[in-house]
Amino acid sequence: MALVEYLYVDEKRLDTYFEQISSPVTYDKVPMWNAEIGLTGPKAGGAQQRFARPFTTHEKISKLTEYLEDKGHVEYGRSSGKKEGTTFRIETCQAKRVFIPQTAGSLRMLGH
Amino acid sequence: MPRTREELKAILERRGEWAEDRWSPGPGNLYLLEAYRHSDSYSHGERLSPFSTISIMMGDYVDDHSPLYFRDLLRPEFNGLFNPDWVDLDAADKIDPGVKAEVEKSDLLPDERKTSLYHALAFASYFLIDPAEALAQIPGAQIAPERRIRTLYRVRKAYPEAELAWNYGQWDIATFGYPIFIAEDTDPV
Repeated sequence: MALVEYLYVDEKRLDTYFEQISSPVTYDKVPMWNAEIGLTGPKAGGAQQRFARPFTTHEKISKLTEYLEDKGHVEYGRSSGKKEGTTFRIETCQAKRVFIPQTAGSLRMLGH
Repeated sequence: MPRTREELKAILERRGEWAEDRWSPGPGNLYLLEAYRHSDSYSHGERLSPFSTISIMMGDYVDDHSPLYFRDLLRPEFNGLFNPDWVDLDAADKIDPGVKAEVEKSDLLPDERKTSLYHALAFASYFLIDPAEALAQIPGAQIAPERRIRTLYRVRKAYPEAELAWNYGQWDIATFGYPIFIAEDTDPV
């Protein structure tokens, strides 16, 4: 599996959607082994314990994407604009990122 | 989605002539708005949302798709929205679509206002054709190199770029979206 190079994640928006489809924590199952020597001889045992932890950003993105795909709430590529499409889209394209500082003079009027 | 040099050249060479093979709108630019915490409507002293800001630059102000951009700019509430200093007129003039002539014909405007509007139109014309390069004219703006991305976004709105069709005969749908994530696309094309 290739590692994903995230360039931008809207954590707030992601959390807003994620909390609607999942609990905020996941559980890691960790095997716990023990061994002891008693009067009746050596004993070994094992148990599985569950440790709660919050979902990682990547897990949240994967789970949200999976949910949207399963429910048919996402489409791929650009909308044709001919009909009302789904709210969410996944797209691959060439892009340029433009950063405009808030303090750029009259840009205050433009609000970015 | 930046247009290629060939696409830009084709649009400019048509100079408003309708492309014969374009009977349905094509996928135009996708604007992924990373900041969205401002109002969509303008009130004095408030910042406009990036969605409204870009809509104005495209000549479409929030559901008001006027085919004549310079008339929108005559509205008093738009005074000062564009700073002429942003505009690289040499660059903008190369792709001016002729709407300047429309402004000059107008006898409603004082010369000073006409000049300001002239610059605004030059900027807007530039923006219509090549948004990233037009925005690069703004002092302090930083433009990252073009790269291939994969993104999940929520659609804010999609509509035809009226000014682009009106002035350049290019019928494209502009799509605005709020990205949930943007990642580098590493899959081979």
